[in-house]
Amino acid sequence: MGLRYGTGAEVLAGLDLRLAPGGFYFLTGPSGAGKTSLLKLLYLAQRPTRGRLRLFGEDVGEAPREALPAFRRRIGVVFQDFRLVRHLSAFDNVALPLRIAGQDDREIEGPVREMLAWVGLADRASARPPTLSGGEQQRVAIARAVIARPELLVADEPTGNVDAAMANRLIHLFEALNRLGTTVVVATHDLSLIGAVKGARMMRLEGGQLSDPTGELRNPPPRSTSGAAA
Amino acid sequence: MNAALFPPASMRRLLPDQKRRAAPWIVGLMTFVSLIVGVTGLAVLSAVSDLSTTAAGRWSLQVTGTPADAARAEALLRASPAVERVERVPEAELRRTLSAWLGPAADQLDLPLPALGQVSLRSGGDGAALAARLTREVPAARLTPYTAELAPLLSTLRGLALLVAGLLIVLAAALAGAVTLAARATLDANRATLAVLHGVGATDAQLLSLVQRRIALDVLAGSAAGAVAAVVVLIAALVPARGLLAGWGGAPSLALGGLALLALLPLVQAVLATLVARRALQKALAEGS
Repeated sequence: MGLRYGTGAEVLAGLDLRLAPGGFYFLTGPSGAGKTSLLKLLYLAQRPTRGRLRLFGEDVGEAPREALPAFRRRIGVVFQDFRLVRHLSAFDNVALPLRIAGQDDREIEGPVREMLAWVGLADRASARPPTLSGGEQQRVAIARAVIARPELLVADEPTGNVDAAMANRLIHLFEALNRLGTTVVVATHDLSLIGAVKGARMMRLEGGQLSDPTGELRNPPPRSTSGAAA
Repeated sequence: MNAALFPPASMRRLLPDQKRRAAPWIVGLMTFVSLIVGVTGLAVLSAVSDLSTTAAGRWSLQVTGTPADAARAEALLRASPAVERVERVPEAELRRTLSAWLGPAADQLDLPLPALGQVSLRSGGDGAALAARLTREVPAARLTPYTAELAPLLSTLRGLALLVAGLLIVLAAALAGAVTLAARATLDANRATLAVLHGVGATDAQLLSLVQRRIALDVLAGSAAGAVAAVVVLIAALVPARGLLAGWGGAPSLALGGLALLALLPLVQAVLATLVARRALQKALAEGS
């Protein structure tokens, strides 16, 4: 498949990619390589301008607009810029996917508190995003992405604003979800993360094309490749 | 796209409270003007109806001949079974009216004054036949219906009522335009939040119900404020007018049905505005796909 914005050149060209259900993937590549665009295709913020996109066994590239929310509810997304709702508390931000799915306040309370505790923000539940540090906002964004136990988790630089210990903790959260069957795709420049997840596969994107579309390349990547990806 | 009119309580706070919103002010002003124009229209229609009722069956008598002609005409009319009442305008009153125009010198002028009177017919009385017979028997006498005399005025008033109806339609169109802009502005102001909600799986219907609730509340608040202001202004304007118009038979009475319709106007506006906003939002969301 390919993707272009408007009438510009293709930012992703000739991608032929298959993610195995339950797999854990790292997506690397230099800035501007198209990682975020590929993630946008995966979390259905964009449709391919050519080719086919199948998700959960269904062709979503041509699916009607009304059908997309049901797919999106099966996907958790951690945005690079967090995209928290500024006027809502950390609790309400984390609760968003559950509320959208129609759960009431009683059902939401327990899981959200538990998730906030897991990311170390139990005492910041009522704080609003502008009063949280970058790292705290990132953890809220991650908690929001995983609260509904998505089948696919897509994360764009999820550990960019947290210290090494917290990054390790978050990656283990992703691993735990992965063990429960969630397919995880993490775009990152942090090569130490890639080595931290046993069995994870790495895909390298450069110039809009995947250099390892099979995903067979096991981490850690060769030294020369890691230099280019950083 | 089917959507609940309003979102469940747990979702209502997903859109931020915005303190400065133009929609309530615009809708309030529109409601205020609509009510004032609507009451004016009702008053005009009511005046047309009152005048038509008053004029029906009433004729004016004019005799330009001698006093004997006038007496003969009056006798003929009083004898007719079609006539209920004949009232002559006293000559002194005619001269008084004349002096108001010509000044005190009017008394010294030897002006020939016609005999004037007012004739009320019984229900079903044939005024045209009576007028023809009167002219035949007293050639100096003329019987003319009030409706003929009032026709230009009634026609003007009916035109005015049509103009008011047209104005109400223009105001409704302007309100629809303003609400459409307000709906799009609300959508734009909350685009970032709505994008996040979309991203976590919100349907267009859910977003629609969130935004249209906001618009509906704005429109209701604006309508209510505009209606209260209009009622205050109308009471302030109509109370003195009743005294002023007392000499003309009182202020025109407003039909109860019309007043009830006017009372419903803010509510009708709120419902229409919500539907217009909903349509605009549906289009905007579809365009954003």
